Amino acid sequence: MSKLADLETTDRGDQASESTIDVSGERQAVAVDAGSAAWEGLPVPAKGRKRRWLPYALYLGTLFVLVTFNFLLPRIMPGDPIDALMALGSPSFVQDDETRAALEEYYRLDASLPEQYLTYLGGLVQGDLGVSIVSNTPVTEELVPRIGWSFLLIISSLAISLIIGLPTGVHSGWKRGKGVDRGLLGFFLSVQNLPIFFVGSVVLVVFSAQMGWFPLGGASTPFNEYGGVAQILDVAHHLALPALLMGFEFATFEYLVMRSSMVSELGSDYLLSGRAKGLTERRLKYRYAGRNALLPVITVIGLQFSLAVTSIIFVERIFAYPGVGGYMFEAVGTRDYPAMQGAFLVLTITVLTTNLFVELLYRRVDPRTAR
Amino acid sequence: MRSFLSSLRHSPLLAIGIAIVMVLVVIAALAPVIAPYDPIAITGNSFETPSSAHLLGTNDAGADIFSRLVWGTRTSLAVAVFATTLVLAIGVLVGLVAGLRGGIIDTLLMRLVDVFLALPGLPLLIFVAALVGPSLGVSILMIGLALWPQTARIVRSQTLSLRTRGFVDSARGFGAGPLYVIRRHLLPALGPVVASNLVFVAGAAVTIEAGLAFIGLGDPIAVGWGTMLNRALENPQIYLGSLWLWWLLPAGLALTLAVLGFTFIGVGLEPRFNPRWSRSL
Amino acid sequence: MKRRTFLQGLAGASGAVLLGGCSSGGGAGAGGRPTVRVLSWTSLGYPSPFAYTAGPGYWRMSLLFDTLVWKDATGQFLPWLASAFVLADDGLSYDVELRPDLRWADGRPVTARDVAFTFEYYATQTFTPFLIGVPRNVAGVEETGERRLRLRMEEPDATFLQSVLGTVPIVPEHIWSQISNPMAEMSPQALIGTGPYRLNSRDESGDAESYVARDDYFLGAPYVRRIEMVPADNPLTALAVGELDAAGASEAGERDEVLEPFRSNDQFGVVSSDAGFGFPLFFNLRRGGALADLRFRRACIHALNRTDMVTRLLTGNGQVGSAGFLPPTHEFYNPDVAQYPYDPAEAERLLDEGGYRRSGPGGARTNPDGTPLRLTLNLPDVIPTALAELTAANLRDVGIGIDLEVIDVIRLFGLKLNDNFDLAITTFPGPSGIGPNGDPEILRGVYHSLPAGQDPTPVTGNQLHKAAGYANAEVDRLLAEQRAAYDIEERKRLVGEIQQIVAEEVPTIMLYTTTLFFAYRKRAFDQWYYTPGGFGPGLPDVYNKHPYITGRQTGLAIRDVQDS
Repeated sequence: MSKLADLETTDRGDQASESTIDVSGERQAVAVDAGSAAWEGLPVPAKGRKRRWLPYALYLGTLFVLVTFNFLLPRIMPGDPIDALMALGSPSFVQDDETRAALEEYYRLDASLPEQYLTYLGGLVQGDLGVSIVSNTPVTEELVPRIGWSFLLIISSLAISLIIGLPTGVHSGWKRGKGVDRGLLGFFLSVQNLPIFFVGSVVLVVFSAQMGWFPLGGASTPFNEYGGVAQILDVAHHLALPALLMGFEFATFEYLVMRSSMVSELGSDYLLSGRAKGLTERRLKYRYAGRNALLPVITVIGLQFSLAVTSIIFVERIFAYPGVGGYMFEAVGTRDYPAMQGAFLVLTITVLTTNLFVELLYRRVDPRTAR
Repeated sequence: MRSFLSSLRHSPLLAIGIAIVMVLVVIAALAPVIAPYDPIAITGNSFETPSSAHLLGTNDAGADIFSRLVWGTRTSLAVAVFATTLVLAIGVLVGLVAGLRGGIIDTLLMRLVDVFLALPGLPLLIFVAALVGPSLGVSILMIGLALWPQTARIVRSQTLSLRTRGFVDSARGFGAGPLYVIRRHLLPALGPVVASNLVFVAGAAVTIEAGLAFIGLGDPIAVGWGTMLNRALENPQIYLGSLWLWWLLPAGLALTLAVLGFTFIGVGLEPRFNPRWSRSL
Repeated sequence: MKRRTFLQGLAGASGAVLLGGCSSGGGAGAGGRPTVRVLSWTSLGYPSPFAYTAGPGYWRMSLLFDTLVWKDATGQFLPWLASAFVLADDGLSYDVELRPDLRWADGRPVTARDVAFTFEYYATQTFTPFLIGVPRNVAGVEETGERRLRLRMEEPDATFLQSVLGTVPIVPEHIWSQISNPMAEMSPQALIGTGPYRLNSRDESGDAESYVARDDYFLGAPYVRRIEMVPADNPLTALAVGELDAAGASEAGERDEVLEPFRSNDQFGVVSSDAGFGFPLFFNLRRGGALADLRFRRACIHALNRTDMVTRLLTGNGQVGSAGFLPPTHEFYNPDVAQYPYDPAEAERLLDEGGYRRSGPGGARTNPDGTPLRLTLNLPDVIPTALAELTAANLRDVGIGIDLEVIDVIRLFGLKLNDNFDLAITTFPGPSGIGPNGDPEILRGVYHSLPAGQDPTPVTGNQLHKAAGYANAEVDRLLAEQRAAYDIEERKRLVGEIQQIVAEEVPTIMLYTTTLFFAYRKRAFDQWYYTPGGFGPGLPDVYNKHPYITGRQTGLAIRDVQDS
């Protein structure tokens, strides 16, 4: 939606900032859609500062605050992991104070909060996320394969979004203002705003449950003995619906950037001279204008990574995809402190890192922000 | 008014968006009249198929799905209104203070905004909602807290812009108090910019609330579209036959419509500050 | 099936490759021993005897480890690791003789020492509350020979055969004596048992596991050669599209529409059992006021149209609960207890009589002291929302103000632990030996006056299912007596008396219990049955390992592969 307005700011070559009330350095801020930006954790570049360490310090500080919050909140709220173990546990288990004390001691929940906090931080520094209380398995061991699947899902959906978004963006920009441009713009605008959880549910009900064209869930067929190409196809088959869903959601991004980027290339001299030389329209469109317009797209891919963290939580849940999002959800449901801390940490670091990366990139690409 | 009408003519999106939202507002206001039944009353057998008595059939308890759909409009609009109000309050306050005071206060507030913007929004929302317990109030509060920073940024930049153009200082020079300056010069100038932003906020709030309810973090007793999606999908029958057509689909479509309505208005308002858009849309 | 559909739906070329590699699907194939693909629950933990979680975790662990005795479809105990087991005359010990030539999966012989060690180990370690086969009431184990031993009880216990001999997995001393942290032990060693299967592969993130038969099993090579467990969000849908060979309907009850595709298709078989989940409504008597007023509680039970609930929610696939808690199909059910049929007029009469007048706004009732009669009904998110809505509607109809509040089960547990609630609906996990259809010992957890752990014999039972504030010395006494009664008729009489008392006093209302359904693809495996009284610790599921091993429903003889 208005990410389009945000992205439009990259296209400013032919237009002075003429709006009545606008401070050009803050232009992105004006245009960016507040709603989706916060929802997706999109950063908006800060005003330029000479202090280069500042963004790093800020992000590290934020990370620290989140890690602490993540530690503290579950411990303040009613219901601890022992309650969860007992509530969800076997009714043939004796639930007396002695048992509770033994379990608290076993999971080291009997230590004072500061002690637990120090242990937790100490572990983090060494890359140790602790042991899951429900499964008694080290959290890192459980998370690593899930990170892999989540990563695969995000990467595939990015690829799909590029495949969909770039050509349509080039075409739309080339035909700017024409019917096809308006149509595409309206289409992407609407697609991006469809609630992904609703579309995902419908897709699951129709294509997986009723038509049987796609698996009901999971990341691969268990115990298949395919190997090789068949194995890859099986994984792709499981990946198809969730990745397509996210791909379409992201494609609007690529489309808008590409479109506005194209628009700014339209008046360029090389196009005029290219036409004069008799280059074909198609060649000019994709080889010259398209290629030159590609640069801003690269910066946007970073943004999508943090956007993806939002989407995978829904998508993984709908398609029972064994990723980090689902893991966090389960862990919160059982108050499994180490597991929820671990999953949340992974998501947090992903978002913060990409946001930092994007901010740094912005500063470099757009000198106005580093004024 | 005339310029508003002309902008409607120039931006069909704005017109469509306004029409959608108006219709929803009317439905919400007239819910008791439009809905044939009390949404929580048991008015039929469970899982009745659509009929003249129950336009969209009945749900697993035997409540009228159409009535719940109609009343669900209220939930979504209430979320939109309350979350937006919250965002408006925090955002304008922080933005104004930062913009007017400047200096260290400005720097600190803007760093705070940066921190909030960098937060992993949804994971955090889920985390808090799951631990604090499902309730509409909590959802609204969380959404408001997640969405204010952009508004604050916008308000600040507009304030700065007005300051640099001397409105503020000259007014102050004539002895006007800060409140007078805010009321007389800043708020009218901010209005249009903030309006566009807030419409987007409303759309986002509706989606987020429904999303939380969808993954089971809303109050399942509440009558809302997200809750309907969640409840429908938890029922194994939704995967069989055509039940999903009248239980799952209408709630999702209503939600989509509402979100698109807000988005269209937001985009439609945007061109007035960015003439490029009025040309291309 | 799923893959074939894929072939039709998408490009043939890629599909053909998939099909080419597709030989691992379920089914007996050409007269061979079958592979069965069943549901894997998520988060079952490691399948060791000390790390598994919950009922499904127990049955999976039981593929690797054996108990002294085990049930078949008749519900009778077959000699398993034990070739003989005799209750002593004083009712305080069992003499057990092990089969000869038993071997652990690593080839070492199984001795009486291993059995004794197992019980000693349980007594000295900390275990996760998810373990359901933890022995209780064991005073000691004496080895009386290389293959003989005596299991002594602290007090006479009619449930001992099932809850200890038929439940506790026997583990090898030479392995576990080296392990001091059994909950966290996840080595291959921890899976060395006497069981009919061995773990073949395990996909941690996918929650999928496969088990392969041990052809050197002491009863002979198991009939089902391979068991695959794969996750599915909707097991019945997964069965329909071919991702599973067998799947259970929800233990919380299922409607006919969901079962219809399987009932009407020859490829599938469906078995059922009355031993499903129970949904009790608890009054917090400790709150006092209306909740402590017997007349009010009786009014509530008359106000609830439970037949309508069963019809509406389950198309009749369940039983209206008895006021005596144990459902009518239960072996220990007492048909003579007071019952309270749906009668809103009677409910209104009782409320009027009790001084709860309709004097509030809109005819809402007030307490005798004039305050509004308004109660909060808590339910965890695992309860069908529709059930809560129906309950609330019924109570509101007779003028009782109800605020519905859904909270997660962990928080409800906390509230119940501190008796900080008015009304609560919970659900008894079916796969737990002490569900409403399990052993009548269930009544102890619900109705005993003392909180868990303060009873002379530890009260097991989840706090979620405790009748808060209910205390009746007579019930306490009967609870102790019935446990010591080895004579089944005597025990029935005692349990019947308990039902009579609680039916009079209504400290809780069993709304209904559900019927369990299990559908399977006949071609893959067709010997599924529900074990009477449950297998192991009383698991009411179909996943008894006995039919996989024997290929039959009764006895220890293994079916010849050529029969199929």
